[in-house]
Amino acid sequence: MIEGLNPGLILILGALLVPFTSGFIRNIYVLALPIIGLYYTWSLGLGSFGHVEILGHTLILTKIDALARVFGTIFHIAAFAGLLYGLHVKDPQQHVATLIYAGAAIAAVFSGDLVSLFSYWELTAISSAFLIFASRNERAFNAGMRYLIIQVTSGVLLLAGIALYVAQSGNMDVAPMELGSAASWLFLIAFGIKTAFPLLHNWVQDAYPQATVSGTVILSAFTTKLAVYALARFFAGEDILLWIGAIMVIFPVFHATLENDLRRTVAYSMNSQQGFMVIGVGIGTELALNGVAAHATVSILYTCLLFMATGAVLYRAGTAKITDLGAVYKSMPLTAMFAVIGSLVIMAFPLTAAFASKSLILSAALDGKMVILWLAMLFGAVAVIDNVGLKIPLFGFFKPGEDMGLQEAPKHMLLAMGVLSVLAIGIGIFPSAFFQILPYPIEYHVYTASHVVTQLQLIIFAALVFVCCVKFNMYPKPQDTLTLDFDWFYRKPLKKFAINLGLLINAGYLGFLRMSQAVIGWFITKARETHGGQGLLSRTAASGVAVSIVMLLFGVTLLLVY
Amino acid sequence: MSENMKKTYWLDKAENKKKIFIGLIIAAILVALPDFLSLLGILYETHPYTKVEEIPAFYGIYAALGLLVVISVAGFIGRFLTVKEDYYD
Repeated sequence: MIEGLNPGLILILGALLVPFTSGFIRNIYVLALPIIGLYYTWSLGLGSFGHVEILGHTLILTKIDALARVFGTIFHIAAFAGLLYGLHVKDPQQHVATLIYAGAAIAAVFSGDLVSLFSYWELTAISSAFLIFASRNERAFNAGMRYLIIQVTSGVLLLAGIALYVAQSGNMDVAPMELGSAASWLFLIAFGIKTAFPLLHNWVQDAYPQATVSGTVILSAFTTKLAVYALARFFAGEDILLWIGAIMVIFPVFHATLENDLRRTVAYSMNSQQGFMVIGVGIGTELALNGVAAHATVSILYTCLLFMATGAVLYRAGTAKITDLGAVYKSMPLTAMFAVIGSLVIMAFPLTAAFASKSLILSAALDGKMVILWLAMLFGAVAVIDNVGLKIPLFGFFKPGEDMGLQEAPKHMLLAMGVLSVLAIGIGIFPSAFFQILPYPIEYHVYTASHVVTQLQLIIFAALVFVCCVKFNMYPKPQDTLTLDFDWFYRKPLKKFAINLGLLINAGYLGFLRMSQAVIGWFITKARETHGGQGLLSRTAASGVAVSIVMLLFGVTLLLVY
Repeated sequence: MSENMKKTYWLDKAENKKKIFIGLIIAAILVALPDFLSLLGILYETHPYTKVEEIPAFYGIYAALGLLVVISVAGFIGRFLTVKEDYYD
C-alpha cells in the first residue's frame, strides 16, 4: 500500500472502477472493497501516517487512534452490509455513490488535519445526495435538494470555523477544543447540523424516507455517526451538549409515535438515539466516551437492520406505510423475524448489543450524579420501546388480517440482515469481547442480576401498557397523514417569504429597467428634436450671431469680475 | 402463496392473543417480584445509585408512566400538527 494512504481512499478510489464492471464481477468487487479496507485499517495499527508539508502547514493524511478505529470499523461493516443488501440494484450510480460516501466517512474519521477532515466532510454530503436523487421522483428530488443545501451549509460553516481557528492558533491538527471562540461555535454548529441537533434535525426525517430502498440503509449509517465522532473528538466534556442531548432524546419520540411511514418512524427514533450519544460526549468521562463509541456502533447495527427490514417491505409491497400494510409476516416471515430482532436490540433486551452499550452511557450519567439527565435518557429508552420496539413489528409486520401475498425478501437482503443480526446478538452475548476495541480500558459487568431484572421491568411494563392502550383504543391510530415538524417553518412561511422577496426584487429590478429605458428614451427624443432634421441646434446660423453671443458673454464676465 | 392465504396462523386466533396478554401480565409480575423480595433480603441485593431506584419496581412504574406520557403527548400534539399526506406537494 502507498505510505500513509487513508483507508477510506480504498473505497473512494475503488468506486471509480465500478462503472467498468457488471454482473457477478461487480457484486464480488463492491463487497471486496470494504473487506480490504477493514483489513488495511487493522493492519496499520494505531498511529499517524503520511505527513505532507503544504504552504507551511503539516497535513496528516491518516491518524488512527482507538476512538477513530471503532468508528472506522463499524463504517466498514455497515458499508459491506449495505452493499450486500443493495446487490439487486443494477444502477452503477448508486454503487458509486455508496462507496464514495462510505469511503469519505471513513477517511474523515481517520483524518489527522482539519483540511482533510473538511474535504471528506463535504464529500460525504455531495455523494450521499445521489442516494436520494436515485429514487428519481419529484418528492425525492426536492428532498434531495433540501438535504444538499443543509449538508453543504454544514460544510461551509466548518470551513469558516477552520479558517478562523487556523488564523488564530496556527494549528491545523484535529484536536480537542474549548467552546468559546467564534471558530469553536462554527465547528459546533457544523457538527450539530449533521448530528441532527434539535431544530437542525429535519433533514433526517425529510430525506431518509425519500431515498432508495438500499440508499436509506446506507444514509442512516454514516453522516450522523461521523458527526458524533467529530463531537467526541473536539468537544468531549462540553456541558452544553448535556442539555442539547437531553432535548434530543425526548423531542423526536412523539413524532415517531405518530408517524405512519415505517422508515420515517425509524428516522425519528434514530434521532432520539443520537441524543444518548450527544449526552455521552457531554459527560466526557472515559466510561461515557466508551459508551458513545459502543452505542454508535450498536446504533448503526440496529438502525441499518430496521431500515433493511422496512426497506424490504417497501421493495416487495411498494409501500412502507402502516395504513397500507397488512399481515406482512405471513408472506415475509424471515424479514419479520429480522424486524423483531432489530426491535429487541433497540429496546436493549438482555442478550442484545444495546443492553450493553446503552448502559455504559446511563452508568456514566449516574457516576456523575446527573440524575435528571439519567431520567431523561430512561424516558427515551421507554419511548423507543413504544415507537420502534413495539410499533414497528406490531403495526408494520404483525397486523391482523389476510396474507398480503408478497414474496419474501431477496436472498442477499436476508443475508445482509442476518449478518447484522448475528453481530448485534453476538455483542449482546459477549460484551466483554466487544469492549476490547473501545477507546479506553474498561472494567464493566453488563450482566448483573439487578441490571437484567430492571431492564426487563422497563420492557415488559412498557409492553403491557402499550398492549392495553392498543386494546382500549387509546393509542394514536395510524393515519395516512403527515405530522408537521420544525421544517414547516422553512418549507412554508420561509419559502413563501423567499418567493415573495424574490418577486419583489424582480419587480424592483423590472421597474428600474423600465425607468432607465424611459430616461434614455427621453434623451433620445430630445436629442432628435434638437439635433435632427430642422432641430434648433442642427439649423445653420450666420457667423455674426455666434460673434454676438461671444461678445455678450465677454461683456457679462467683465461686468461680474470688475 | 395460495396455500398461505387459507392457512390460519397462531396469531389469527383470538384466544392466543388473550394468552399473550395474560403472559405479559404474568411476566410483569415476575420481573417486579425480585424488587419486593429484595426488601426482605431474599434473592438479591439491589445497588441503587439514586433515591428513586429504592422504590420497588421503580423501572416498571417509570416505564408504564413514561409510555402513557409518550402516548398522551403524541395524541395531544397530533391534533394540532396533523395535515394531509400531500400537504407539501
